Amino acid sequence: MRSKAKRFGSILLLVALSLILTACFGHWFTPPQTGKLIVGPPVRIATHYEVLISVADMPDGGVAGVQLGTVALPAIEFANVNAATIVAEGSSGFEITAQGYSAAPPVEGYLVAVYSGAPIVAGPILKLSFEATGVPTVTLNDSRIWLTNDVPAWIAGWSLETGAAYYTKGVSSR
Amino acid sequence: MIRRTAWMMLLLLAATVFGLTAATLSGSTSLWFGLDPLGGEFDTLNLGFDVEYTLGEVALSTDGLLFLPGTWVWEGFSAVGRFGAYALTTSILCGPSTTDYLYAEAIVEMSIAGIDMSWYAAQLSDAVLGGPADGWALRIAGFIGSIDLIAISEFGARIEDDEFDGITIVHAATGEERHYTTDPLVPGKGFTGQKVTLLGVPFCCADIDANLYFTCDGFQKMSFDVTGIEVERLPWLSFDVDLTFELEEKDLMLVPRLSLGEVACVDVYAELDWDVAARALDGICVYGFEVSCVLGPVTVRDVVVLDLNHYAITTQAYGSTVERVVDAIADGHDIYPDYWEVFSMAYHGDGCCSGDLTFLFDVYFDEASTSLFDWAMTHVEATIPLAEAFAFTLAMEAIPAGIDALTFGFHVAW
Repeated sequence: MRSKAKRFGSILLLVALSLILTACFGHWFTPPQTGKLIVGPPVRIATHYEVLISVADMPDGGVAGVQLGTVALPAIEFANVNAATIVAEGSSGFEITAQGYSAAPPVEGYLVAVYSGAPIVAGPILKLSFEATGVPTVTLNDSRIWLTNDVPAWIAGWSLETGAAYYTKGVSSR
Repeated sequence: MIRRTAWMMLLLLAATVFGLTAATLSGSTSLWFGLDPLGGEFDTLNLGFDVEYTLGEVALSTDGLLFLPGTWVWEGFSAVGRFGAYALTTSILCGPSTTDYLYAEAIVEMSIAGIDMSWYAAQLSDAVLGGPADGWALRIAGFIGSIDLIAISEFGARIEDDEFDGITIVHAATGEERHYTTDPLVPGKGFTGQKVTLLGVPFCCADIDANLYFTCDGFQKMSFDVTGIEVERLPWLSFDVDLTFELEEKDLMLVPRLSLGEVACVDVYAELDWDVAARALDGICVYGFEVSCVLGPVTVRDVVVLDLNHYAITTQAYGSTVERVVDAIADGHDIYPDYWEVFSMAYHGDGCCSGDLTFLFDVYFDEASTSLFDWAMTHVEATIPLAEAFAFTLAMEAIPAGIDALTFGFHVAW
């Protein structure tokens, strides 16, 4: 037992010495990961398209409510989309409480969704479905987007991310 | 740098495979198709495939997911092998929609004289939002007397444990996820952190778990945990105590635990209503219950959620149990947020041809449904062995509007 402990201690000592010799030469730098509102690319499912809107690394405890524009200042802009077929639904427990889309081009819309449970730090929160008239695109205007936590208070320190095919989720330690 | 290391990992994978002599080849292949009948067209087809094969002492596998038309989500490769005291696990995830690989991980584990040593290395491509990053970590664990000592040295990576998540990569268009143990932090950095954990340190009447963590930024935290402190004459109540020291903070957390014991065939999901600010127990919240009964090869279950604001039933793949919604989302578990009850019947018995015959019939209920008895969805799945090494699988979901999803596939062992 004693020799085992000795050997184990020696290995630990070696590791510690290596760390002392190599450690912390000013290389430790982790840029802070800010919150992200991620708009996925349209993916064709059968005869319609779907766009997932997700969050990742959300600060302030996570998102409990999202407002994408207002009636006067819509934040969602669709291109090559049949406005009459647009359907929004919440994901991860989010529920749509208000929404509206213009019937004629340019197709624009607003949407409000809330989650009455605990806020979400990372994961999909909204799904937009629609039929396309060409190659569809969905863009958001980040100056007209508001995110809230469950206090409720506005969440600052997030950025809108579009065009990313993949993202890391819920990695608060990153 | 990233490409070089990726090539090294590929070489490692190849060496693992081809370095073996007198290898035997066996394995299995699964192929499945998913249809969306409500969509009404054949182009709703989704295609998934898994191939596993064993070469000597190395098990190799690959799996992919293709949403038709045209969205190839990713392709994963992995190799697991054991050579004497050494165990090797390598994984590479490639995204066909990008020109780069997405993530690569290698884990080498060895056990020498009662000491477990593990080396974890990983790279995250810049094709993933959050990347690029790479790093490795060394984990050494062993017993000193009755105390379990775990030391983790981080060189730009953290590994999954009670405190840190691993890494979950999400496909932004479909929401599909892959989870791995090693979380690389930033590109090309040296030593980044050290964690030392002591489990089961005897101290008077209790065993203490101690944890020390520091990084190159300096001391991060030190914590002492005692779990399961029992209260005399209240066998259903116990407390966990967590004392944490941070640089400018000291926290003492008291977490009450409720233990209702085991009742044959009935599980009550409940938690204590603990007012943290007032340090008072306000009551017991029952948020669900489950009745289950095993009748030979048939298992009958009824799972009910009473608080859909905070809890939900997980999908079949995650056991159809009740989980806190935020935990399920954080862990990547799929849930049904709207269904308050599932009635389930499962059969698991011998098939005709030495394979297992399985059948699952789940019925879900939604308060908002206007169907009979609040019926909202029925999920049926079955595995039917057709020959000794050949099985047919079928899954179907029906909602009030009609059949919502239909999946069928084949599994071949060779």
